[in-house]
Amino acid sequence: MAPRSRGAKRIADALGFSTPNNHVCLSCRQALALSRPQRGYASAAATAKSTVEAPPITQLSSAGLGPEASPHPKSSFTIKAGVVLSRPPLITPDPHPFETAYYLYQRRLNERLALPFTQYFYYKRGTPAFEQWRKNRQERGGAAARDIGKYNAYTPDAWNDEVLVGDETGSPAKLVEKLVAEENRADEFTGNGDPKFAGLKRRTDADEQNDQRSLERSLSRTLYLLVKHKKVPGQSQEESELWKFPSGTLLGHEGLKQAAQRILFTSLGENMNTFFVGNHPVGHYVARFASPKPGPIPPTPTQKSIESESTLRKQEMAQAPEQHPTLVDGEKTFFMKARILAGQADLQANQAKDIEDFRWLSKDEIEKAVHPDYWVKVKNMLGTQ
Amino acid sequence: MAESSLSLRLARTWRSFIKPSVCNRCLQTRRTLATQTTASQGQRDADLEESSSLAGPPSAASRANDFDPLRIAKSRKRQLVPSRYQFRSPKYYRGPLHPHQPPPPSDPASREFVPGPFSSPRLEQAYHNIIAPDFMTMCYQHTPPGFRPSQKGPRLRPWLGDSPYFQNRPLRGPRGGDVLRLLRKPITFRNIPMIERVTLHAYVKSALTSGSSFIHVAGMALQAITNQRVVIHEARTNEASWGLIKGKTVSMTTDLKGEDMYHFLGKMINVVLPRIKDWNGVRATTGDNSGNLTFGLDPEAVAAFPEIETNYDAYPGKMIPGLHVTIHTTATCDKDARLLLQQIGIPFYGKVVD
Repeated sequence: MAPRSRGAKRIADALGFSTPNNHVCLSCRQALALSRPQRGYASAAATAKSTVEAPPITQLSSAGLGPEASPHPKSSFTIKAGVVLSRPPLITPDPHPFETAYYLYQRRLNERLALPFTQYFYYKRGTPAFEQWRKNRQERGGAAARDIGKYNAYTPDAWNDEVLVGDETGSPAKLVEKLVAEENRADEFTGNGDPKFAGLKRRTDADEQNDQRSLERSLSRTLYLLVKHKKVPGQSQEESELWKFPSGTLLGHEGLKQAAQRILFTSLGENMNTFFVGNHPVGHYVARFASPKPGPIPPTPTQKSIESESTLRKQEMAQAPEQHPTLVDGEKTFFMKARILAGQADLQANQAKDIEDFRWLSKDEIEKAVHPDYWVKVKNMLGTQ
Repeated sequence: MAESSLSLRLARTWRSFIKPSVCNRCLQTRRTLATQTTASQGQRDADLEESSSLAGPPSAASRANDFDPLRIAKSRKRQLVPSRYQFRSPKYYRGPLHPHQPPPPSDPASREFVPGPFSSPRLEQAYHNIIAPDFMTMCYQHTPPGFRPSQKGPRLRPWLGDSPYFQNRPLRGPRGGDVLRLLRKPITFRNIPMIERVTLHAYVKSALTSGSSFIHVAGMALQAITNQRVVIHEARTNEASWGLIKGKTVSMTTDLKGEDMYHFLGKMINVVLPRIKDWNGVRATTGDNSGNLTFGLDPEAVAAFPEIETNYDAYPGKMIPGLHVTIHTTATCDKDARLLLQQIGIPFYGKVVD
């Protein structure tokens, strides 16, 4: 781009007629600037004088982005980092009745087509195990398989391999119950005997009490951590009652992942063993204020951050002195995906004392808890199951 | 002709005027409004049904409870001839124009029908619900709007020069070797790597010296842990240093796909691998540069599979084979394949080669 046109572009930007490409974030602009040489006006003028020169190596299309892209966006936003902390499902979901019926039917078809079970390979003749096996087999109507109900594929009635509506033969719960009964371990597994087997239940006590703070609830669903903030004096009643993912403003020049980790630690304690999936956000939410509000106070640059500052960044800071304008039009929250491996959120460790409550909710429950606009923006980054 | 038909119609009309449309017998049995009123109230007509037809059929639940296909079949006086209810698929396919077409293989009546699936494995569900979304997040690479990747030259280079032999010559291979590696495309929701199949291979060395019993036992063991018949392989060449004799049975393989594969992997990862003593994991140098990773299991580890462990005594001692497990993934480079296997729970150790 010739210097003349670049000047024109600057003016256009200043007046607010900039191209729609100015939504490129700061880090992207930096990355793009790194891939092409930074040239000052003098060198550009020199280039203009020298007639033949190879075009600058750019990774951009001719539509044109780079250092000439506007450093002054039309509206300024506070950048926030959010954490989508989730507990993955611990057990498989309950199968659909059709699924159950289909699998049972296929197993019975298999029983009709497969070679007979080689019982003497697994049970020596004359042993107590063999007698037990033969007794159990007779109770099942002669079927070797323990998961097809009372069905014998070698009788003239073997054609009757479909179960009727409402039959419980194929349901996994029933199968497990039968297996446990056959092994004479019903006392242990039903939880009446040894309490340590109570964990084998698919519905836990937290499910029964609907304890939404517990991580033991809804074992077959992904649970997401949501928080409710305390009421701020200037805030409307409705706004303060909304549930959101934990989020906070970026400090200094920290990255999204660093910020997300810091926010999680400072707001809900360090008693959570978490794993951040990737270094990229999985979603974002833009909140526009009705009227511009004062933004967060720009952090004073520490000695360390000054040292780590690249020359490029300095140039950019020099070009755009008002990096942190006093008034912002809204806030953009970028969500980082994280998994919880162990531990639990702790309200006592909340340093800013701004969180009132937290909950672990599945996707369906989040829809009911959050604001509809918020839901539209976040629903696609949440897993279905 | 027209006149005769007209006269016929006239005659028919006249007859219908003279004769009433209902016959005498019907008229006698028919009841009118007047006869109903004259009938005595207490006297019930024997032909009348007690229950109203407007009440509707019995409920679906009660009908379902009463339905018993076995009883219905046994109550039949005469059995249907088998040709009325048994469909026999043609033994040979005689072309698309033949009137007797075989059913599709998914039909239980087909000769090619293989039953299944019988369950939805836990690992498969975990892959779809947890692993694949996480993989996509981890491998996401951000490019700003308007980004255009730098243009690379063609992988197969043309022959440049004046030589007449360069005309119509096949393209040159890539620089630095003639292997054309797979391209790694950016990961999107369409190409998240997944496990395609697992090949198990057992090389039964003792079968060369000590008879075929080792082959039989190894086949039984493999069949027990995979739910598949094994394929037997013979030595293709003589190799004196290894004791190989051409044509002699030395090894066996099984290819696992779908449900069997997920069940095998689930058992291996959750039951067998944690029980191997002093095992660091899979060497990170494994791989064929195109996303297929191989590692070995020694006979002790194979014996730890639950199917073998339950009746370990049935297998003759020292005859359970070791295994080579090759996991074929749809990843196009080993790095992605390793990431996927780490996610499903296979540990890696040592130097990483990409």
